[in-house]
Amino acid sequence: MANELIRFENVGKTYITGSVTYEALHDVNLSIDEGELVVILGPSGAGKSTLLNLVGGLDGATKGKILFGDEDITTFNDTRLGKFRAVDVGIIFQFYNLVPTLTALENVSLMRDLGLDIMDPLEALDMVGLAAQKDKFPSQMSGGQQQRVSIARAIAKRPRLLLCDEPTGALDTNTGKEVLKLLRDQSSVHHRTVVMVTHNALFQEIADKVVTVKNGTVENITVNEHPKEPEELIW
Amino acid sequence: MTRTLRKKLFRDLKSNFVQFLSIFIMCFFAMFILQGFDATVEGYAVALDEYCLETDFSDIVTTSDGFNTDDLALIKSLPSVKTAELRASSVGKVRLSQEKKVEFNFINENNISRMHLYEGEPFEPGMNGIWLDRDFATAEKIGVGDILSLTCDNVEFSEPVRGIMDNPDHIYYIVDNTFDDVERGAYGYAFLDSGEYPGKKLVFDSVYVKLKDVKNQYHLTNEEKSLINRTAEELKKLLQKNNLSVTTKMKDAGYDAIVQDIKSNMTLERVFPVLFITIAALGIITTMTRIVMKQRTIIGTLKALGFSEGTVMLHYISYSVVVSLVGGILGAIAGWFTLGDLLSYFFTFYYIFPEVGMRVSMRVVLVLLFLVVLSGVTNYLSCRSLLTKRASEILRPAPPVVTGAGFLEKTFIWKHLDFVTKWNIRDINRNRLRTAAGILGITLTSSLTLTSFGANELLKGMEKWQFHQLSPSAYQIGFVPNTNLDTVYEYSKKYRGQMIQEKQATLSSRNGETIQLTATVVDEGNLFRFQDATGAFVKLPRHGIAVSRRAAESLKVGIGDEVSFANTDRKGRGSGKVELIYISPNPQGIAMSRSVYERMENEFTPSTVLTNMTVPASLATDKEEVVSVVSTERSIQAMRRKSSGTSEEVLYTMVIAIIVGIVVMYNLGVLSFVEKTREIATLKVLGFKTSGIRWILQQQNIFVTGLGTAIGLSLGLKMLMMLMSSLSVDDDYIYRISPMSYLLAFFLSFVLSLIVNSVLSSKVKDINMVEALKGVE
Repeated sequence: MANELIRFENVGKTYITGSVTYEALHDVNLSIDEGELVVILGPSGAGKSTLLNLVGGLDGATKGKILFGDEDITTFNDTRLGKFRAVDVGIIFQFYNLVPTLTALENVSLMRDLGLDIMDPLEALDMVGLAAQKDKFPSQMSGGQQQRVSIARAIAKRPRLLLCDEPTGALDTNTGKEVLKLLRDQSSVHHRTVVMVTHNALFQEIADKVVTVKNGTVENITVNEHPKEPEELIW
Repeated sequence: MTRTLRKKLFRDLKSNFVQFLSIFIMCFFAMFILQGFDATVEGYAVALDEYCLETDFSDIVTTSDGFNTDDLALIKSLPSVKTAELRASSVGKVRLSQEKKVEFNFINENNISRMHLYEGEPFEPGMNGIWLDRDFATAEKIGVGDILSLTCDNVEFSEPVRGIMDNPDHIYYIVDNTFDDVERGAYGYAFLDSGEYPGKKLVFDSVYVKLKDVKNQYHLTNEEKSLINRTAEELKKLLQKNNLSVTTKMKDAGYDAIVQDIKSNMTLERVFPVLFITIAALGIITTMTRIVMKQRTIIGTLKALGFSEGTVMLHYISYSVVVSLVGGILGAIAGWFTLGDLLSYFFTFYYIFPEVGMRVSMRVVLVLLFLVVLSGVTNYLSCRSLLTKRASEILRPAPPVVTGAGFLEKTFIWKHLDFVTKWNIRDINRNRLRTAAGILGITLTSSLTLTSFGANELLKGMEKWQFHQLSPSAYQIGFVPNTNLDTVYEYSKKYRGQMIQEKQATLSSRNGETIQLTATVVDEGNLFRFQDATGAFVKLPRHGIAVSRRAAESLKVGIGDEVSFANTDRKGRGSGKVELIYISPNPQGIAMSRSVYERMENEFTPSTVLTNMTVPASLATDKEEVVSVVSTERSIQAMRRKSSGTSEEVLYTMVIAIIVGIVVMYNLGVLSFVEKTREIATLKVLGFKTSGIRWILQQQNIFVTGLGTAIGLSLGLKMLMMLMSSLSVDDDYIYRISPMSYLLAFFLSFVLSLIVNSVLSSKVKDINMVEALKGVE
């Protein structure tokens, strides 16, 4: 049996803006195992991104516990959260979020500046098939290439958890499949936990576990015994 | 900062070149001006201090018709006096290829205001020979061992040159009071042992005094100053002498002149950098706020990737810190080698030091540090609101800021405004800081430009004012002090001239203000005229006293107030009501008619005769009573040389003003244009014509530039007054700026801004509507 990496216990998140209070998440209970590829599905405004932000320590919960291994990350202060994100979490954004004034290689090398013992940035780029494009700036690359640089940046530090926020949202079908394949490999080959937020229901077919979020809470959790390979998806 | 972030920093600086160039230039010029003035000021302050310390420059000099050893003993008996020594001075001649004037100083000893020897033997009491000043020796190619033929008090004698030296009493040296032009090397001064005096009886006319508890020279403490003043008063009471004059170190002509010059340069050194640093700070706020907003996603990403708040904060703070540090250092270096060199060069016209060079003071280092810290703090305050947010919050797009036109929108006028005006009013309200920075920048440009044009006019006008309007004579004959009236009158009759008496005097007002300036007594004639504050020619009052405008300001007196004067040679004193405030370029002080002066029971002893007839220069060497014959032409040349330094400073100011103006306008124009790209694209999509959109942008620019120019032009005259009064404490001017100067300043700031804006707004036609409207970020 796989080890549990993340556990949500009655987690809630409320935003207060002036006199307006908005409950983005409530009573979330969830468990994610090590090496698992988890797809979080849900319509726009369901709370998917909030859930992802809480897992990654980008935001703090207002209620409940989020256990990462043995540690409750809701008790971390900003410094500890920053360290947690730097060491344990790799994040892949929908719009890649590369630093436009740094080349592909420099964007990956940025992780070394965190003082981490990361893999060779060129090797990370090679893993995503972009070693030849190392000196290009983001503006000189296609969306798919930029997303692969973003993946290289995330995996270079060998995180235990990869968080992906709509990673194919800005990509065409074929490029999207290539990116999904890379993410799938992170889970199946490198035994890294991958949590992917998407509104595309099709992606549940490649997941080990599918978490459906609706109206700020987990509506359904499905375990997929035989996930498909990304190449098999048709959309 | 990490290596990769450092790369990002430099690439970001490159991609926001114009904005950072603007900050760079402000910091550059702030330090440029500061260092330019400071290097000279500090150099001369240190030189003055070291020179005076090394030579034990006297604390008090007292002069009279004659002192003897008993007087010396009396002075030495004062508890505060450390030592004192006698000196006799007389203007004589040295025969070279032609005769030259030399001031002979006969001494028994030289422990106070000692000679600084460059070559030859040091002075010892009882030695024969002469010690000659370096400038004169160099100009006349005189060396140690040469035998000089001299004349002193009508007796010819010769002496071997024992040494080449300088002396701190001669930092600022004019051979006699009728010369107002320092010509280094044109006339000399020398020291000889009193035993070498060729005449019958040597009369010591001065005593040099050194006090026990005065250890400092340039950096005199308040206690030391008050001790000097107290002792000077004691000496006045102690010595009952004819024509006694007691001059403290602080009032010594050379020491005081250079201290005043240092002070006035320090004023300028402060004013301009403060203006530039203020604009730089505004530039940092506008630029960094926008850069941080533009890089919102990057900041969020960096934080999401695990970079600490401190690292991200430091990274963004370092943008302005790097720019201001580099700008400040390069500005200081450039200021040193250009403005500093120039100012230093002009100081050398007037002041004689053994060694003087520019220096870096702690002030410059502290201001540079302040600039960098201010830049960092300003930057921090501009960015902290975003940088301190959580990663998830930063990664969400910023909510649009809803800002209307404020109270204006609630008034009835609003409904009647057209779309363009409403759009611009809202834009200005949304970008208040950017607008303020723009107005301030243009204000600075237009006021500095107007100031420099005004100063240029003023300096050119001085020549006409002084030599054609106030004193329209062709020649001025100077007489030995205390030449009797009958002798001078003979010259006045012969050359159909006007007799003038000019003496240093202590002026006092009833409110307790006391200053040392010039008291001028004018005989009948039309070669020495007066103008009131409006510029109208007026006659001297028949009963009262006339006070120059700057003297009246210092004495805090006006028409009807009472002033009193006491000539420093003790020959002449009195008091009277101020009946006229007159304006005069130089000298400042009081003036009265001969009849008024004599009614106060004073004896009129004219020092000069002004004439329009040609006076042979040989009078100065042939006639014992004549010390100088100065043509107006020569005086004009001296004035031109004196004002050439100011002209150069004015030119610097103008060039800097124009550069600052262009940079500020271009930077703010670019910022504004970049921010409006999406809005402009939307307007284009909606069918607005390019010319219509350009007019929208130009309208706002006209408002900002117009307001800045109007403020600047209205401040120009005040700035000119401040600048000129700081540059020369003894001079006064008719502060008028011609319409042409206003027009030129307006053209350079307002029209230039329209041109810059036109260049920027011409890019409207190149905006790609599809690209510009893509994506929120």
